[in-house]
Amino acid sequence: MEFEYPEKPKQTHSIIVKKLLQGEFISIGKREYEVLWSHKEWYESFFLDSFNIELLNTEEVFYCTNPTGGMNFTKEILTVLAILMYEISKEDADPIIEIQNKEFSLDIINKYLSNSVQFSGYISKNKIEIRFVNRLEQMGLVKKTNNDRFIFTRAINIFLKEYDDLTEQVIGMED
Amino acid sequence: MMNSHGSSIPNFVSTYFRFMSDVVRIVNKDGDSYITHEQLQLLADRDSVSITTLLKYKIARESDGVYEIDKRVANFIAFSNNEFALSSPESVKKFHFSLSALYEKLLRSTEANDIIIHSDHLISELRDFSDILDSSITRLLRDTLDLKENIEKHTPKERFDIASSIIKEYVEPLNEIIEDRPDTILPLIRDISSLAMQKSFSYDKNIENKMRRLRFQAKHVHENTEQFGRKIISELFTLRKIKKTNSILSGAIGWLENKTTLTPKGLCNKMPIKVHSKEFFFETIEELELLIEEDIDIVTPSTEDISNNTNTSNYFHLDKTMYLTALEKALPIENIFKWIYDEMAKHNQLSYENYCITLSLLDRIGVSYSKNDRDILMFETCELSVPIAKSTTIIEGDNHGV
Repeated sequence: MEFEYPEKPKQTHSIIVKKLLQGEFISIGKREYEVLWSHKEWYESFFLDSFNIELLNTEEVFYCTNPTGGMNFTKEILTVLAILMYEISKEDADPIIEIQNKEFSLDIINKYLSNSVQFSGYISKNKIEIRFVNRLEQMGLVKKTNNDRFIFTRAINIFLKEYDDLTEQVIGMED
Repeated sequence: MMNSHGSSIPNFVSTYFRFMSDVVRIVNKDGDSYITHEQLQLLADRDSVSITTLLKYKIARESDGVYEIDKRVANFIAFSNNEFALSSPESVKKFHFSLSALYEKLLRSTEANDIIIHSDHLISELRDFSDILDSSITRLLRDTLDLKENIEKHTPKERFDIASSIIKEYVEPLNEIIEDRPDTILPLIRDISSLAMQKSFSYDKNIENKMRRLRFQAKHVHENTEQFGRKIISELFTLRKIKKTNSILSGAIGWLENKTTLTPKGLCNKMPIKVHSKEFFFETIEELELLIEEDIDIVTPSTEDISNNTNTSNYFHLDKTMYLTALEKALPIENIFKWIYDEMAKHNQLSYENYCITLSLLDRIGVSYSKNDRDILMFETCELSVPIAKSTTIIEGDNHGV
Protein backbone atom coordinates (compact mmCIF):
# COMPACT_ATOMS: atom_id res chain seq x y z
CA MET A 1 0.00 0.00 0.00
CA GLU A 2 1.31 3.39 -0.90
CA PHE A 3 1.84 5.28 2.31
CA GLU A 4 0.15 8.56 1.66
CA TYR A 5 -1.83 10.18 4.40
CA PRO A 6 -5.26 11.61 3.95
CA GLU A 7 -5.29 15.35 3.50
CA LYS A 8 -6.18 15.87 7.16
CA PRO A 9 -3.53 16.85 9.70
CA LYS A 10 -1.27 14.06 10.83
CA GLN A 11 -2.01 14.83 14.46
CA THR A 12 -5.57 13.66 13.90
CA HIS A 13 -4.27 10.57 12.17
CA SER A 14 -2.04 9.80 15.12
CA ILE A 15 -4.95 10.27 17.56
CA ILE A 16 -7.23 8.09 15.44
CA VAL A 17 -4.72 5.23 15.33
CA LYS A 18 -3.96 5.48 19.02
CA LYS A 19 -7.59 5.64 20.11
CA LEU A 20 -8.81 2.82 17.92
CA LEU A 21 -5.92 0.55 18.89
CA GLN A 22 -6.68 1.25 22.54
CA GLY A 23 -10.21 0.03 21.95
CA GLU A 24 -11.87 3.42 22.01
CA PHE A 25 -15.16 4.02 20.20
CA ILE A 26 -15.10 7.16 18.05
CA SER A 27 -18.61 8.56 17.85
CA ILE A 28 -20.20 11.01 15.46
CA GLY A 29 -19.63 14.62 16.47
CA LYS A 30 -15.91 14.13 17.10
CA ARG A 31 -13.23 15.56 14.81
CA GLU A 32 -11.68 12.10 14.43
CA TYR A 33 -15.03 10.69 13.30
CA GLU A 34 -15.23 13.27 10.50
CA VAL A 35 -11.73 12.33 9.28
CA LEU A 36 -12.54 8.62 9.47
CA TRP A 37 -15.85 9.07 7.68
CA SER A 38 -14.37 11.14 4.86
CA HIS A 39 -11.44 8.71 4.43
CA LYS A 40 -13.23 5.53 5.33
CA GLU A 41 -11.80 3.34 2.59
CA TRP A 42 -8.29 4.59 3.20
CA TYR A 43 -8.50 3.82 6.92
CA GLU A 44 -10.05 0.41 6.32
CA SER A 45 -7.05 -0.48 4.13
CA PHE A 46 -4.65 1.17 6.54
CA PHE A 47 -5.81 -0.87 9.55
CA LEU A 48 -5.96 -4.07 7.58
CA ASP A 49 -2.57 -3.65 5.89
CA SER A 50 -0.76 -2.21 8.90
CA PHE A 51 -2.18 -4.26 11.77
CA ASN A 52 -4.36 -6.93 10.16
CA ILE A 53 -7.28 -5.40 12.05
CA GLU A 54 -10.72 -4.81 10.63
CA LEU A 55 -11.98 -1.27 11.07
CA LEU A 56 -15.66 -1.53 11.96
CA ASN A 57 -18.25 1.18 11.75
CA THR A 58 -21.90 2.05 11.92
CA GLU A 59 -23.31 5.34 10.69
CA GLU A 60 -22.56 6.75 14.13
CA VAL A 61 -19.40 5.07 15.37
CA PHE A 62 -15.98 3.73 14.29
CA TYR A 63 -14.24 1.05 16.33
CA CYS A 64 -11.95 -1.97 16.24
CA THR A 65 -12.27 -5.18 18.21
CA ASN A 66 -9.68 -7.73 19.18
CA PRO A 67 -11.09 -11.22 18.56
CA THR A 68 -8.54 -12.79 20.87
CA GLY A 69 -8.98 -10.29 23.69
CA GLY A 70 -10.64 -10.77 27.06
CA MET A 71 -14.40 -10.61 27.49
CA ASN A 72 -14.72 -9.47 31.09
CA PHE A 73 -15.40 -5.78 30.58
CA THR A 74 -17.77 -6.40 27.66
CA LYS A 75 -19.75 -8.81 29.84
CA GLU A 76 -19.73 -6.37 32.73
CA ILE A 77 -21.14 -3.59 30.54
CA LEU A 78 -23.77 -5.89 29.03
CA THR A 79 -24.87 -6.96 32.50
CA VAL A 80 -25.07 -3.44 33.99
CA LEU A 81 -26.86 -2.10 30.94
CA ALA A 82 -29.31 -5.02 30.88
CA ILE A 83 -30.33 -4.56 34.51
CA LEU A 84 -30.57 -0.81 33.98
CA MET A 85 -32.86 -1.22 30.96
CA TYR A 86 -34.99 -3.85 32.68
CA GLU A 87 -35.54 -1.63 35.70
CA ILE A 88 -36.27 1.42 33.53
CA SER A 89 -38.82 -0.57 31.51
CA LYS A 90 -40.66 -1.35 34.75
CA GLU A 91 -41.24 2.40 35.14
CA ASP A 92 -43.27 2.38 31.89
CA ALA A 93 -40.50 4.30 30.15
CA ASP A 94 -38.85 3.26 26.90
CA PRO A 95 -35.47 1.95 28.09
CA ILE A 96 -33.79 2.47 24.74
CA ILE A 97 -34.79 6.13 24.53
CA GLU A 98 -33.79 6.64 28.17
CA ILE A 99 -30.37 5.07 27.67
CA GLN A 100 -29.77 7.05 24.50
CA ASN A 101 -30.87 10.41 25.87
CA LYS A 102 -31.06 10.59 29.64
CA GLU A 103 -28.36 11.92 31.93
CA PHE A 104 -27.08 9.37 34.43
CA SER A 105 -24.73 9.37 37.39
CA LEU A 106 -22.99 6.70 39.41
CA ASP A 107 -25.62 7.15 42.13
CA ILE A 108 -28.56 6.89 39.74
CA ILE A 109 -27.23 3.68 38.19
CA ASN A 110 -26.40 2.20 41.58
CA LYS A 111 -29.92 2.98 42.76
CA TYR A 112 -31.36 0.97 39.88
CA LEU A 113 -28.90 -1.87 40.50
CA SER A 114 -29.49 -2.06 44.24
CA ASN A 115 -33.28 -1.86 43.82
CA SER A 116 -33.34 -4.70 41.31
CA VAL A 117 -35.09 -7.63 42.94
CA GLN A 118 -35.05 -9.98 39.99
CA PHE A 119 -31.38 -9.51 39.14
CA SER A 120 -29.95 -8.95 42.58
CA GLY A 121 -26.41 -10.30 42.88
CA TYR A 122 -25.71 -10.21 39.16
CA ILE A 123 -23.22 -7.40 39.81
CA SER A 124 -20.79 -7.59 42.72
CA LYS A 125 -22.34 -5.82 45.75
CA ASN A 126 -25.16 -4.69 43.41
CA LYS A 127 -23.26 -1.57 42.52
CA ILE A 128 -20.61 -0.25 40.20
CA GLU A 129 -17.55 1.73 41.23
CA ILE A 130 -16.33 5.02 39.80
CA ARG A 131 -13.56 3.16 37.95
CA PHE A 132 -16.27 1.50 35.87
CA VAL A 133 -17.60 4.89 34.74
CA ASN A 134 -14.07 6.17 34.16
CA ARG A 135 -13.29 3.25 31.94
CA LEU A 136 -16.53 3.80 30.02
CA GLU A 137 -15.37 7.37 29.49
CA GLN A 138 -11.92 6.27 28.36
CA MET A 139 -13.54 3.99 25.83
CA GLY A 140 -15.77 6.77 24.51
CA LEU A 141 -18.96 5.10 25.74
CA VAL A 142 -19.98 7.92 28.05
CA LYS A 143 -19.38 11.65 28.00
CA LYS A 144 -19.23 13.64 31.22
CA THR A 145 -21.68 16.54 31.33
CA ASN A 146 -21.21 18.26 34.66
CA ASN A 147 -20.10 17.21 38.11
CA ASP A 148 -20.61 13.49 38.35
CA ARG A 149 -23.19 13.26 35.58
CA PHE A 150 -22.76 11.77 32.13
CA ILE A 151 -24.65 10.70 29.04
CA PHE A 152 -24.08 7.61 26.96
CA THR A 153 -22.56 8.35 23.56
CA ARG A 154 -23.88 6.98 20.27
CA ALA A 155 -21.39 4.13 20.73
CA ILE A 156 -23.75 2.59 23.27
CA ASN A 157 -25.96 1.59 20.33
CA ILE A 158 -23.36 -1.03 19.45
CA PHE A 159 -24.04 -2.71 22.78
CA LEU A 160 -27.80 -2.38 22.27
CA LYS A 161 -27.36 -4.01 18.87
CA GLU A 162 -25.46 -6.79 20.63
CA TYR A 163 -28.60 -7.57 22.68
CA ASP A 164 -30.46 -7.79 19.40
CA ASP A 165 -27.97 -10.42 18.25
CA LEU A 166 -28.26 -12.21 21.60
CA THR A 167 -32.04 -12.42 21.06
CA GLU A 168 -31.29 -14.34 17.86
CA GLN A 169 -29.10 -16.68 19.89
CA VAL A 170 -31.87 -17.19 22.46
CA ILE A 171 -34.37 -17.93 19.66
CA GLY A 172 -31.84 -20.36 18.19
CA MET A 173 -31.52 -22.08 21.58
CA GLU A 174 -35.31 -22.40 21.83
CA ASP A 175 -35.53 -23.90 18.34
CA MET B 1 -81.60 -17.59 10.02
CA MET B 2 -85.17 -18.11 11.17
CA ASN B 3 -87.13 -15.61 9.15
CA SER B 4 -90.42 -16.80 10.65
CA HIS B 5 -89.24 -15.43 13.98
CA GLY B 6 -87.92 -12.11 12.63
CA SER B 7 -87.52 -10.44 16.00
CA SER B 8 -86.31 -13.51 17.92
CA ILE B 9 -82.66 -13.16 17.04
CA PRO B 10 -82.39 -9.39 17.72
CA ASN B 11 -84.31 -9.94 20.95
CA PHE B 12 -81.95 -12.74 21.99
CA VAL B 13 -78.85 -10.69 21.13
CA SER B 14 -80.27 -7.66 22.91
CA THR B 15 -81.27 -9.61 26.03
CA TYR B 16 -77.96 -11.44 26.29
CA PHE B 17 -75.72 -8.75 24.83
CA ARG B 18 -72.99 -9.16 27.48
CA PHE B 19 -72.94 -12.92 26.86
CA MET B 20 -72.84 -12.44 23.08
CA SER B 21 -70.13 -9.77 23.32
CA ASP B 22 -67.89 -12.06 25.38
CA VAL B 23 -68.49 -14.94 22.99
CA VAL B 24 -67.65 -12.81 19.93
CA ARG B 25 -64.59 -11.38 21.73
CA ILE B 26 -63.25 -14.92 22.19
CA VAL B 27 -64.11 -15.86 18.62
CA ASN B 28 -62.37 -12.78 17.23
CA LYS B 29 -59.41 -12.88 19.58
CA ASP B 30 -56.90 -15.03 17.75
CA GLY B 31 -58.64 -15.37 14.44
CA ASP B 32 -59.60 -18.97 15.26
CA SER B 33 -63.27 -18.14 14.59
CA TYR B 34 -64.57 -20.55 17.19
CA ILE B 35 -65.25 -20.96 20.90
CA THR B 36 -64.71 -24.20 22.76
CA HIS B 37 -67.55 -26.03 24.49
CA GLU B 38 -65.99 -25.34 27.90
CA GLN B 39 -65.64 -21.62 27.23
CA LEU B 40 -69.21 -21.36 25.90
CA GLN B 41 -70.64 -23.38 28.78
CA LEU B 42 -68.87 -21.19 31.32
CA LEU B 43 -70.33 -18.00 29.84
CA ALA B 44 -73.77 -19.62 29.38
CA ASP B 45 -73.85 -20.71 33.02
CA ARG B 46 -72.76 -17.25 34.16
CA ASP B 47 -75.54 -15.47 32.25
CA SER B 48 -78.14 -18.28 32.35
CA VAL B 49 -78.20 -18.67 28.59
CA SER B 50 -79.52 -21.79 26.92
CA ILE B 51 -77.00 -23.15 24.42
CA THR B 52 -79.88 -25.02 22.82
CA THR B 53 -81.61 -21.71 21.99
CA LEU B 54 -78.36 -20.42 20.57
CA LEU B 55 -78.22 -23.42 18.26
CA LYS B 56 -81.93 -23.24 17.48
CA TYR B 57 -81.63 -19.65 16.25
CA LYS B 58 -78.52 -20.72 14.29
CA ILE B 59 -76.52 -17.99 16.02
CA ALA B 60 -74.02 -20.76 16.85
CA ARG B 61 -73.24 -23.97 15.02
CA GLU B 62 -71.48 -26.96 16.53
CA SER B 63 -68.61 -28.28 14.51
CA ASP B 64 -66.22 -31.00 15.64
CA GLY B 65 -66.62 -30.26 19.34
CA VAL B 66 -66.32 -26.46 19.07
CA TYR B 67 -68.86 -23.73 18.28
CA GLU B 68 -68.75 -21.34 15.35
CA ILE B 69 -70.71 -18.11 15.55
CA ASP B 70 -72.67 -16.88 12.56
CA LYS B 71 -70.51 -14.30 10.77
CA ARG B 72 -73.37 -11.79 10.38
CA VAL B 73 -74.16 -11.87 14.09
CA ALA B 74 -70.48 -11.75 15.04
CA ASN B 75 -69.93 -8.76 12.73
CA PHE B 76 -72.96 -6.96 14.15
CA ILE B 77 -71.77 -7.47 17.74
CA ALA B 78 -68.19 -6.50 16.81
CA PHE B 79 -69.54 -3.42 15.02
CA SER B 80 -71.64 -2.51 18.08
CA ASN B 81 -68.62 -2.84 20.37
CA ASN B 82 -66.06 -1.54 17.89
CA GLU B 83 -64.15 -4.77 18.42
CA PHE B 84 -63.23 -6.36 15.13
CA ALA B 85 -61.27 -9.38 14.12
CA LEU B 86 -58.10 -8.67 12.18
CA SER B 87 -58.95 -9.69 8.63
CA SER B 88 -56.49 -11.95 6.93
CA PRO B 89 -54.70 -10.48 3.90
CA GLU B 90 -56.28 -13.28 1.87
CA SER B 91 -59.80 -12.16 2.78
CA VAL B 92 -58.88 -8.63 1.65
CA LYS B 93 -57.17 -9.86 -1.48
CA LYS B 94 -60.21 -11.76 -2.66
CA PHE B 95 -61.96 -8.41 -3.20
CA HIS B 96 -59.44 -7.72 -5.94
CA PHE B 97 -60.70 -10.79 -7.81
CA SER B 98 -64.40 -10.14 -7.20
CA LEU B 99 -64.14 -6.45 -8.13
CA SER B 100 -62.10 -7.32 -11.18
CA ALA B 101 -64.66 -9.90 -12.35
CA LEU B 102 -67.57 -7.48 -11.79
CA TYR B 103 -65.70 -4.71 -13.62
CA GLU B 104 -65.26 -7.00 -16.64
CA LYS B 105 -68.96 -7.84 -16.56
CA LEU B 106 -69.98 -4.19 -16.41
CA LEU B 107 -67.52 -3.35 -19.18
CA ARG B 108 -69.11 -5.91 -21.50
CA SER B 109 -72.73 -5.14 -20.53
CA THR B 110 -74.86 -3.37 -23.09
CA GLU B 111 -78.32 -4.15 -21.78
CA ALA B 112 -79.69 -1.68 -19.24
CA ASN B 113 -80.75 -4.44 -16.83
CA ASP B 114 -77.31 -6.03 -16.87
CA ILE B 115 -75.67 -2.68 -16.29
CA ILE B 116 -77.93 -2.03 -13.28
CA ILE B 117 -77.31 -5.49 -11.78
CA HIS B 118 -73.52 -5.40 -12.21
CA SER B 119 -73.21 -1.86 -10.92
CA ASP B 120 -75.32 -2.78 -7.86
CA HIS B 121 -72.98 -5.70 -7.24
CA LEU B 122 -69.97 -3.44 -7.65
CA ILE B 123 -71.38 -0.86 -5.23
CA SER B 124 -72.08 -3.60 -2.68
CA GLU B 125 -68.67 -5.21 -3.12
CA LEU B 126 -66.88 -1.87 -2.83
CA ARG B 127 -68.80 -1.18 0.40
CA ASP B 128 -67.83 -4.59 1.81
CA PHE B 129 -64.21 -3.96 0.86
CA SER B 130 -64.31 -0.59 2.58
CA ASP B 131 -65.89 -2.14 5.69
CA ILE B 132 -63.23 -4.82 5.95
CA LEU B 133 -60.50 -2.16 5.71
CA ASP B 134 -62.21 -0.10 8.42
CA SER B 135 -62.57 -3.03 10.79
CA SER B 136 -59.00 -4.19 10.13
CA ILE B 137 -57.42 -0.84 10.82
CA THR B 138 -59.56 -0.40 13.95
CA ARG B 139 -58.38 -3.74 15.29
CA LEU B 140 -54.80 -3.09 14.24
CA LEU B 141 -54.69 0.27 15.98
CA ARG B 142 -56.14 -1.29 19.12
CA ASP B 143 -53.65 -4.18 19.12
CA THR B 144 -50.70 -1.82 18.59
CA LEU B 145 -51.90 0.50 21.34
CA ASP B 146 -52.35 -2.49 23.63
CA LEU B 147 -48.76 -3.58 22.92
CA LYS B 148 -47.46 -0.07 23.55
CA GLU B 149 -49.37 0.70 26.72
CA ASN B 150 -50.02 -2.54 28.57
CA ILE B 151 -46.41 -3.34 29.24
CA GLU B 152 -47.20 -5.49 32.29
CA LYS B 153 -49.46 -7.74 30.23
CA HIS B 154 -46.62 -9.34 28.24
CA THR B 155 -42.92 -10.00 28.69
CA PRO B 156 -40.57 -8.22 26.27
CA LYS B 157 -40.10 -11.52 24.45
CA GLU B 158 -43.88 -11.91 24.06
CA ARG B 159 -44.21 -8.32 22.84
CA PHE B 160 -41.39 -8.92 20.37
CA ASP B 161 -43.15 -12.09 19.13
CA ILE B 162 -46.57 -10.41 18.87
CA ALA B 163 -45.19 -7.39 17.01
CA SER B 164 -43.20 -9.66 14.67
CA SER B 165 -46.28 -11.78 14.00
CA ILE B 166 -48.60 -8.82 13.30
CA ILE B 167 -46.02 -7.29 10.95
CA LYS B 168 -45.37 -10.53 9.11
CA GLU B 169 -48.89 -11.94 8.96
CA TYR B 170 -50.99 -8.81 8.55
CA VAL B 171 -49.35 -5.45 8.09
CA GLU B 172 -46.77 -6.18 5.39
CA PRO B 173 -49.08 -8.36 3.25
CA LEU B 174 -51.96 -5.89 3.65
CA ASN B 175 -49.67 -3.04 2.70
CA GLU B 176 -48.61 -5.03 -0.35
CA ILE B 177 -52.25 -5.49 -1.38
CA ILE B 178 -53.35 -1.91 -1.04
CA GLU B 179 -50.21 -0.18 -2.36
CA ASP B 180 -50.76 1.95 -5.44
CA ARG B 181 -49.12 -0.22 -8.10
CA PRO B 182 -50.46 -1.22 -11.53
CA ASP B 183 -51.35 -4.72 -10.30
CA THR B 184 -53.13 -3.73 -7.07
CA ILE B 185 -56.67 -2.83 -6.15
CA LEU B 186 -56.31 0.97 -6.26
CA PRO B 187 -55.95 1.30 -10.05
CA LEU B 188 -58.85 -1.12 -10.42
CA ILE B 189 -61.06 1.15 -8.31
CA ARG B 190 -60.06 4.09 -10.53
CA ASP B 191 -60.92 2.02 -13.59
CA ILE B 192 -64.35 1.28 -12.11
CA SER B 193 -64.91 5.00 -11.59
CA SER B 194 -63.84 5.79 -15.19
CA LEU B 195 -66.09 3.06 -16.54
CA ALA B 196 -69.04 4.42 -14.56
CA MET B 197 -68.35 7.84 -16.08
CA GLN B 198 -68.32 6.40 -19.63
CA LYS B 199 -71.50 4.38 -19.11
CA SER B 200 -73.40 7.34 -17.67
CA PHE B 201 -73.27 9.19 -21.02
CA SER B 202 -74.72 6.44 -23.16
CA TYR B 203 -77.88 5.42 -21.38
CA ASP B 204 -81.03 6.75 -19.76
CA LYS B 205 -81.51 8.81 -16.59
CA ASN B 206 -81.91 5.71 -14.42
CA ILE B 207 -78.58 4.32 -15.45
CA GLU B 208 -76.99 7.75 -15.20
CA ASN B 209 -78.08 7.94 -11.55
CA LYS B 210 -76.80 4.44 -10.86
CA MET B 211 -73.47 5.28 -12.46
CA ARG B 212 -73.23 8.44 -10.36
CA ARG B 213 -73.70 6.31 -7.26
CA LEU B 214 -71.07 3.87 -8.43
CA ARG B 215 -68.63 6.71 -9.10
CA PHE B 216 -69.34 8.19 -5.71
CA GLN B 217 -68.83 4.82 -4.04
CA ALA B 218 -65.60 4.18 -5.99
CA LYS B 219 -64.28 7.63 -5.07
CA HIS B 220 -65.13 7.10 -1.41
CA VAL B 221 -63.52 3.65 -1.31
CA HIS B 222 -60.44 4.94 -3.17
CA GLU B 223 -59.95 7.65 -0.55
CA ASN B 224 -60.60 5.14 2.20
CA THR B 225 -58.03 2.73 0.77
CA GLU B 226 -55.41 5.47 0.46
CA GLN B 227 -56.10 6.52 4.03
CA PHE B 228 -55.84 2.88 5.12
CA GLY B 229 -52.47 2.72 3.34
CA ARG B 230 -51.18 5.74 5.23
CA LYS B 231 -52.41 4.38 8.56
CA ILE B 232 -50.94 0.97 7.93
CA ILE B 233 -47.53 2.48 7.09
CA SER B 234 -47.68 4.47 10.29
CA GLU B 235 -48.59 1.32 12.24
CA LEU B 236 -45.77 -0.52 10.51
CA PHE B 237 -43.29 2.05 11.84
CA THR B 238 -44.77 1.81 15.34
CA LEU B 239 -44.77 -1.99 15.30
CA ARG B 240 -41.21 -2.12 13.99
CA LYS B 241 -40.16 0.19 16.82
CA ILE B 242 -41.95 -2.02 19.36
CA LYS B 243 -40.30 -5.05 17.80
CA LYS B 244 -36.86 -3.44 17.90
CA THR B 245 -37.19 -2.17 21.48
CA ASN B 246 -38.42 -5.51 22.72
CA SER B 247 -35.85 -7.43 20.75
CA ILE B 248 -33.14 -5.42 22.53
CA LEU B 249 -34.87 -5.73 25.89
CA SER B 250 -35.52 -9.45 25.56
CA GLY B 251 -31.88 -9.88 24.43
CA ALA B 252 -30.78 -8.00 27.55
CA ILE B 253 -32.93 -10.20 29.79
CA GLY B 254 -31.90 -13.27 27.80
CA TRP B 255 -28.29 -12.30 28.49
CA LEU B 256 -28.91 -12.00 32.24
CA GLU B 257 -30.68 -15.34 32.32
CA ASN B 258 -28.25 -17.26 30.09
CA LYS B 259 -24.86 -15.70 30.72
CA THR B 260 -23.12 -19.02 30.69
CA THR B 261 -24.54 -20.22 27.38
CA LEU B 262 -24.67 -17.03 25.30
CA THR B 263 -21.58 -15.73 23.59
CA PRO B 264 -21.50 -11.99 22.96
CA LYS B 265 -18.86 -10.40 20.76
CA GLY B 266 -15.87 -8.98 22.63
CA LEU B 267 -16.35 -5.26 22.17
CA CYS B 268 -13.98 -3.81 24.77
CA ASN B 269 -10.40 -4.77 24.01
CA LYS B 270 -7.14 -3.02 23.45
CA MET B 271 -5.30 -4.26 20.39
CA PRO B 272 -2.10 -6.16 21.20
CA ILE B 273 -0.07 -3.70 19.14
CA LYS B 274 2.39 -1.00 20.06
CA VAL B 275 2.53 2.00 17.77
CA HIS B 276 5.51 4.31 17.41
CA SER B 277 3.71 7.45 18.45
CA LYS B 278 4.84 10.37 20.58
CA GLU B 279 3.83 8.48 23.67
CA PHE B 280 5.97 5.60 22.52
CA PHE B 281 9.06 7.80 22.73
CA PHE B 282 8.38 8.41 26.38
CA GLU B 283 7.66 4.75 26.97
CA THR B 284 11.02 3.98 25.38
CA ILE B 285 12.72 6.42 27.70
CA GLU B 286 11.03 4.77 30.66
CA GLU B 287 12.28 1.41 29.51
CA LEU B 288 15.73 2.85 29.00
CA GLU B 289 15.72 4.30 32.48
CA LEU B 290 15.19 0.82 33.80
CA LEU B 291 17.89 -0.55 31.54
CA ILE B 292 20.53 1.90 32.65
CA GLU B 293 19.43 2.24 36.26
CA GLU B 294 17.56 5.49 35.92
CA ASP B 295 20.71 7.33 34.98
CA ILE B 296 19.49 9.27 31.99
CA ASP B 297 18.28 12.89 32.17
CA ILE B 298 15.75 14.20 29.77
CA VAL B 299 14.94 17.80 29.04
CA THR B 300 11.32 17.42 28.06
CA PRO B 301 10.38 19.38 24.97
CA SER B 302 7.63 21.98 25.25
CA THR B 303 4.19 21.32 23.76
CA GLU B 304 4.94 23.92 21.11
CA ASP B 305 8.20 22.23 20.22
CA ILE B 306 6.49 18.88 19.89
CA SER B 307 3.72 20.36 17.81
CA ASN B 308 6.16 22.13 15.48
CA ASN B 309 8.23 19.05 15.12
CA THR B 310 5.31 16.74 14.49
CA ASN B 311 3.96 18.99 11.81
CA THR B 312 7.20 19.06 9.91
CA SER B 313 8.65 15.60 10.46
CA ASN B 314 8.01 12.55 8.40
CA TYR B 315 7.14 9.27 9.96
CA PHE B 316 10.23 7.26 10.74
CA HIS B 317 10.79 3.62 10.14
CA LEU B 318 13.72 2.20 12.11
CA ASP B 319 15.85 -0.10 10.00
CA LYS B 320 17.36 -2.14 12.83
CA THR B 321 19.31 -4.39 10.48
CA MET B 322 21.15 -1.47 8.92
CA TYR B 323 22.12 0.02 12.30
CA LEU B 324 23.10 -3.29 13.88
CA THR B 325 25.25 -4.24 10.89
CA ALA B 326 27.06 -0.89 11.05
CA LEU B 327 27.39 -1.20 14.81
CA GLU B 328 28.86 -4.69 14.56
CA LYS B 329 31.55 -3.36 12.23
CA ALA B 330 32.31 -0.41 14.52
CA LEU B 331 32.73 -2.43 17.75
CA PRO B 332 34.08 -1.72 20.29
CA ILE B 333 32.34 1.68 20.61
CA GLU B 334 33.41 4.01 23.39
CA ASN B 335 30.29 6.21 23.44
CA ILE B 336 27.30 4.27 22.14
CA PHE B 337 24.77 7.14 22.62
CA LYS B 338 26.96 9.48 20.60
CA TRP B 339 27.62 6.78 18.00
CA ILE B 340 23.87 6.31 17.42
CA TYR B 341 23.46 10.10 17.31
CA ASP B 342 26.19 10.47 14.67
CA GLU B 343 25.00 7.48 12.67
CA MET B 344 21.49 8.92 12.50
CA ALA B 345 22.82 12.32 11.44
CA LYS B 346 24.81 10.55 8.72
CA HIS B 347 21.58 9.03 7.38
CA ASN B 348 19.73 12.31 7.76
CA GLN B 349 17.32 10.71 10.21
CA LEU B 350 18.16 12.64 13.33
CA SER B 351 15.41 14.10 15.45
CA TYR B 352 14.58 13.74 19.11
CA GLU B 353 11.68 11.38 18.41
CA ASN B 354 13.62 9.27 15.90
CA TYR B 355 16.55 9.08 18.30
CA CYS B 356 14.34 7.73 21.08
CA ILE B 357 13.00 5.07 18.76
CA THR B 358 16.50 4.13 17.67
CA LEU B 359 17.57 3.73 21.28
CA SER B 360 15.47 0.58 21.30
CA LEU B 361 18.64 -0.92 19.72
CA LEU B 362 20.04 -0.93 23.25
CA ASP B 363 18.16 -4.10 24.08
CA ARG B 364 20.46 -5.84 21.56
CA ILE B 365 23.72 -4.24 22.71
CA GLY B 366 25.93 -5.04 25.69
CA VAL B 367 26.57 -1.72 27.48
CA SER B 368 28.83 -0.68 30.39
CA TYR B 369 29.25 2.85 31.70
CA SER B 370 30.37 5.09 34.52
CA LYS B 371 27.89 7.30 36.35
CA ASN B 372 30.30 10.22 36.44
CA ASP B 373 31.02 10.66 32.75
CA ARG B 374 28.26 12.30 30.82
CA ASP B 375 27.64 13.72 27.39
CA ILE B 376 25.15 16.26 26.06
CA LEU B 377 23.36 15.53 22.81
CA MET B 378 21.67 18.47 21.11
CA PHE B 379 18.37 18.20 19.26
CA GLU B 380 16.22 20.81 17.62
CA THR B 381 13.62 20.59 20.34
CA CYS B 382 15.61 19.53 23.38
CA GLU B 383 18.92 18.39 24.76
CA LEU B 384 19.62 15.02 26.25
CA SER B 385 22.13 14.36 29.03
CA VAL B 386 23.32 10.77 28.70
CA PRO B 387 26.02 8.67 30.33
CA ILE B 388 29.10 7.86 28.26
CA ALA B 389 28.48 4.17 27.78
CA LYS B 390 30.83 1.67 26.18
CA SER B 391 29.60 -1.09 23.95
CA THR B 392 31.67 -4.12 23.04
CA THR B 393 29.18 -6.82 22.03
CA ILE B 394 25.92 -7.44 20.28
CA ILE B 395 23.56 -9.66 22.22
CA GLU B 396 22.42 -12.57 20.08
CA GLY B 397 18.79 -12.32 19.05
CA ASP B 398 16.53 -14.11 16.59
CA ASN B 399 17.65 -11.86 13.74
CA HIS B 400 18.37 -8.26 13.04
CA GLY B 401 14.95 -7.50 11.71
CA VAL B 402 12.42 -5.21 13.34
